[in-house]
Amino acid sequence: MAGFTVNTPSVHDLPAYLSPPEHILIDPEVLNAQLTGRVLSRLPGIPWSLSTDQRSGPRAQASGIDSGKQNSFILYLKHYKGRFLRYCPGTRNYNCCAYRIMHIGENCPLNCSYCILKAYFQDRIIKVWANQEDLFKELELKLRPGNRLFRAGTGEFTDSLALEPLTGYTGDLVQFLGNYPNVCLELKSKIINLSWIKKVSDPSRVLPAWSVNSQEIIKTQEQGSAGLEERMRAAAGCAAQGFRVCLHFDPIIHYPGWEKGYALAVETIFDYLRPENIAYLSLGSFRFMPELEKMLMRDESRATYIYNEFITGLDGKKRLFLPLRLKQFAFIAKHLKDKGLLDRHMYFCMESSYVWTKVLGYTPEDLGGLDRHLLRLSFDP
Amino acid sequence: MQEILTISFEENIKLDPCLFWAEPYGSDLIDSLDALGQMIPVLVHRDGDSLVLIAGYKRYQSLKKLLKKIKALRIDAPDPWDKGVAYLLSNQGQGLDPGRIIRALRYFKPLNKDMHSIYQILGIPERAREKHLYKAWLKLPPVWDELLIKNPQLLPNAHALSLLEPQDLEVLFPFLDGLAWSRNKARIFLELLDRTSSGKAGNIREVPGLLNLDKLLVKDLTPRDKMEAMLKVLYRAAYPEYYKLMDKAEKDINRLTSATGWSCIHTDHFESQDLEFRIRVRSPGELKVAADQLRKMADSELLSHWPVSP
Ligand code: SF4
Repeated sequence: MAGFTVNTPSVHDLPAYLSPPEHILIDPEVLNAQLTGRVLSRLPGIPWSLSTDQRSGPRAQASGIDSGKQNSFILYLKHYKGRFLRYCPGTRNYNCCAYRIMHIGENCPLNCSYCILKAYFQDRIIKVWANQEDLFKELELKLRPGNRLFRAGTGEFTDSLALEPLTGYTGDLVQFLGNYPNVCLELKSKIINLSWIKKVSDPSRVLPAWSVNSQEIIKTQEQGSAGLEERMRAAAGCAAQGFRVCLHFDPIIHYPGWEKGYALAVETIFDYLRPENIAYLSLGSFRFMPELEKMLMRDESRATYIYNEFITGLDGKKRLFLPLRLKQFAFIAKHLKDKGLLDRHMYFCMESSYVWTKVLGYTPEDLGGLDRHLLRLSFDP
Repeated sequence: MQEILTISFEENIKLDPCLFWAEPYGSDLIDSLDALGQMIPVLVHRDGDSLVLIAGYKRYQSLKKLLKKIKALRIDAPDPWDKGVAYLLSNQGQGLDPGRIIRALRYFKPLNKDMHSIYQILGIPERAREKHLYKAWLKLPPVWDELLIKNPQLLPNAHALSLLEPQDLEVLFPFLDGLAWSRNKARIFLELLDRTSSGKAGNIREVPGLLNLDKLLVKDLTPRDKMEAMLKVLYRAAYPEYYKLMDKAEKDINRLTSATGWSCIHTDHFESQDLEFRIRVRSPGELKVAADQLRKMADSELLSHWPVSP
């Protein structure tokens, strides 16, 4: 195609979940950025072009490039102008863990049926904020060492590590944060990539985190992701190198046979980890924007769980009817406790104090607030 | 070759299938033809010995009724596509509704040409959502067009309907035929059928029988009551646990407020424990009584378990 440049062709050495992008779109401002150079050098043979139409956005430009093939995507190296450090968009009606989001990009190469990003970004453009120096400048300003403590993570609008083989973003970030002992960085993922470890100066300030689920859900709904055993093997590897890990039972899905599935998932976790390896573990029931429900019903025959009893919650999102949620939470929490995980190391993602009391016997207020509690758990083993 | 013909009102002209909007004619057209005469000829072509009308159906019928001669422009037999386009263009400017649009599209679709220009003439832009809806509707059997003609509110559900199997459509037809579903209620109806079938029945076609919706359909109720009753049954089937608790909660609330003037509701689907109490009083005396009743309700055993236990 006219105006496109093609790198020297070569075979890409990428993990199975990550096919090379069909095209790379680059904002002119970041053409010479270190990250752009790295991505291009790791993707020889992939055509790239400068984004020309900043006004109508990459979507319009990409629509002429996207072949629409399954699993294909366009990688957009963007000159991001917004705020990099943000608050988690929790809502007033449920208890939020209040962590800070380090925004490094949007969208994800994996294909989880329930992924909320589908409803947010209805395209196959994966964006990476390539102006890292702006990110670091903003972080320098806001995180000044010695100031207050921060618990932050990159896995809100993308999987923290899925693009690491292409971008090396997390490696750069942990290296930068080596100078900020007041920051604890959580890296939430469903794949295995530990390439960033060699750049970590203090393992107590990085929390590798995996989303965990039953084998059935991982196999049928989290296409491209690593199996639970693989995830836990990697977690054990991290623990052996002095890291504590975080686990997120999220989304917990109510499907026929869930008891067996989640009991086995807990077993698997503790086949690899000891309770003290886990900084904290969250329990989050599947919740979604109403738009996602329509998309799943229309496009995802594998997502049969969507026909369950979901009601509209106080935040306008859909969530499983409370008694069903409580049953699942109580069941999983009991299995975790039986394995020795202290209930103070568990928390609920976006649940009411009523749910906390019913399952754990106390509320986030009893812990001094969920944000403070998790901050303590992040920093103090 | 073209020629202008004058045809007797007694002559029988065949109607071409391209007259997809042929409808009974109105008296105002008859009046104007009577007063002014026929200004524009109708369009015909010859098929053997007969003439076939391809545009001007209303004028033709009106002039026949007035026992007047009919001026016609005869053209060489055009192919069905061109005939349709000629008819469409000669009727441009007439009000378009989903029923008329689908009749036009249904005519052109089997002719297997690029429909782009037809959508354009019908005033439906290339990227409009409406276009996708009509495309989806065209996947339904032609008999469904009658439903759309009667109730244009069904169009937004075209996509959901187009995904159903023929047997499901057959069973659903009478449920959408006799009742004037609003756009939103029709959507909920289909969604609940889908939900219920995915959970229990396996196929949408089995749901009406399983839940006795077919009996409700023939029951002596107003169409509105029938729709309400069917939605209620479907909601209960799709959300059994929710309604189990709802029934229990309602029973408890009724017991709690019985013999008081208070009403009490819960509106948060059990996501909160909140209850709203309401009363109307007309005097300080009534207010005192109400306050006593409220105090008693606050002490009730019924509230100590509200609303659920795991
Ligand atoms: S890994 Fe996370 S971000 Fe990626 S598709 Fe799955 S749910 Fe979405």
